[in-house]
Amino acid sequence: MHNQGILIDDTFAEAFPMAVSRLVITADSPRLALQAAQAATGLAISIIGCACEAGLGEILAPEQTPDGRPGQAILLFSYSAEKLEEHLFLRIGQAILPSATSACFNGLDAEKTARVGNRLRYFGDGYQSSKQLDGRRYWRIPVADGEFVLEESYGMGEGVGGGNLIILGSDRAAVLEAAEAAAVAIHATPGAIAPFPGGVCRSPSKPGSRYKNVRASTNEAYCPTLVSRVATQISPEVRAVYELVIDGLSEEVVGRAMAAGMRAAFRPGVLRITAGNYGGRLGPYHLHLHELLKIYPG
Amino acid sequence: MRIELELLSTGSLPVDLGVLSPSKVLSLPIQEIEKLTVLVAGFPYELGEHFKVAQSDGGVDELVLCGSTNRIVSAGFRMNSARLAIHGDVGPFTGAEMSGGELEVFGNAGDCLGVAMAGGSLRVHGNTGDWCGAVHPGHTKGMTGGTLIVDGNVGSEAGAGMRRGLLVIAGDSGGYTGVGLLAGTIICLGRLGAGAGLEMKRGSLVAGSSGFLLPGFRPAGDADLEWLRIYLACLHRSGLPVPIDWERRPPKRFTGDHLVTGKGEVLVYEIIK
Repeated sequence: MHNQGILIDDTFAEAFPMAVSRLVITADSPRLALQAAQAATGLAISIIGCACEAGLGEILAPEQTPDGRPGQAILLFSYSAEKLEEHLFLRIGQAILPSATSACFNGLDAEKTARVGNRLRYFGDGYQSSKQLDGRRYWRIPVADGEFVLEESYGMGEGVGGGNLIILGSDRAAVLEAAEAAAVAIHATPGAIAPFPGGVCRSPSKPGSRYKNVRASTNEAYCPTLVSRVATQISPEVRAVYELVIDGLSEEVVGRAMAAGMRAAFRPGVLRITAGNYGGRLGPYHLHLHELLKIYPG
Repeated sequence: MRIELELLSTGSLPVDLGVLSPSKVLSLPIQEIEKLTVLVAGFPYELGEHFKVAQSDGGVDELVLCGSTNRIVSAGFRMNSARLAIHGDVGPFTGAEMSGGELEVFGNAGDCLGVAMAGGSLRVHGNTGDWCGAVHPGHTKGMTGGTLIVDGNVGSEAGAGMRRGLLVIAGDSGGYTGVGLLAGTIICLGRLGAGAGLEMKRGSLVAGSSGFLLPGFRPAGDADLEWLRIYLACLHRSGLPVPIDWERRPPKRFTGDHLVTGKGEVLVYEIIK
């Protein structure tokens, strides 16, 4: 299939289930809420390195948040509920709690929960207290600018991770521009994140390596400088390849985000759009590029 | 389905509905409802002797009490589900020990409203007497859960011994509100009576205004508290008239009662000297 002269491979992205949580961070100003959210999602780029992928969600108006202050939603994904709970504890405790004026609320109702507040309350050293309202328990931890309020439990639902797009082109600046436009479109899809820096990854990886202790390594098949040395996946005129990894609250959300990302990437300088998979052996969700463009028209 | 029980006026004797579970009544046909036992002045009678029973379909499933409801005591006692609406004033112990469901009174309520309440929601669109949401005499814990809202004023010792839950008084409260409070939250949109929070151990008392607090309370400055914003949003959703001033400035915070633990707090928007 070609669109605006760009080849779209007849292939699919292979996605798999991931545990997901959604946090609503509030603060006295949108800037402070964003600051806390950025800190909480820091270095959560890829589960390969840190077992957590996270990104910013919607900006929330005061009337959309539990405490009536400006808010910022974030989404966090991990490969297991246990690992996600570990990251929620670390990231709420290490990033959101110290952020000025912040509070942290659960933004996802799910059967499985992580009892983060129940553990973090001990930071209050005996001065913590709790409130219960409408079936939710809030912990109040005294801090130097007032109190840090967080919930006893945070929902952990089943999301979908590993959606991806690979954008190839002849001019690095043009391909990057297209990839960044795709990242913006993905970010604008409610419930989806692109966890890499700016949403764009320049280092597609493959599992394993020739070195025994290295779990993942560069995917040489997509490196333009190696076209003459390896079994490459790219044509000689391709000079840059950028990947977008997409996680979402559901298969539909990831599919919608991928379709929006592809459309945004239909720009001059882009030669081809493809997606990565493992031959359908690993993930139960197969997101076919051609079908996505049909199912989710722009 | 809606079942209406109209109490026919046959004197001033109290009619105890403590044995009448709204969910059970709603599950029975009229003939069986009329055979249920109620206590009139402590003596058992068939319900049909004192109430006119009517049934109608559609709308919300609810049991409605009307007629001479001011003689009714213990309506909704230990109710754990369904909805009970009382149209008119009602006597003492309404909603006592209720653990679930919804009880709404379109009138005033007597003493001991929601005493030892453990869950559900109870709302009175009027005033109530003493010991609203309080502890049973001789017991150690008052309310242990649920939401109790009084749109008018309450008498003395509201929320005494409260352990958990939310008590909201849209008007003024009588003396010794929250005496012996163990935890939980009491919000009085009007003026707090004297002696509030005496020997409270933990929990929060929030009020629009108050006279001087007891000596066991120490000032802790102004407090802009996020948890209070969450509660105020809840009050807004319930249609309560939260003063605009409450949104604009933080209340003064006092900790206490330092005669006991000092872990409780009283938040007051205005101290009247």
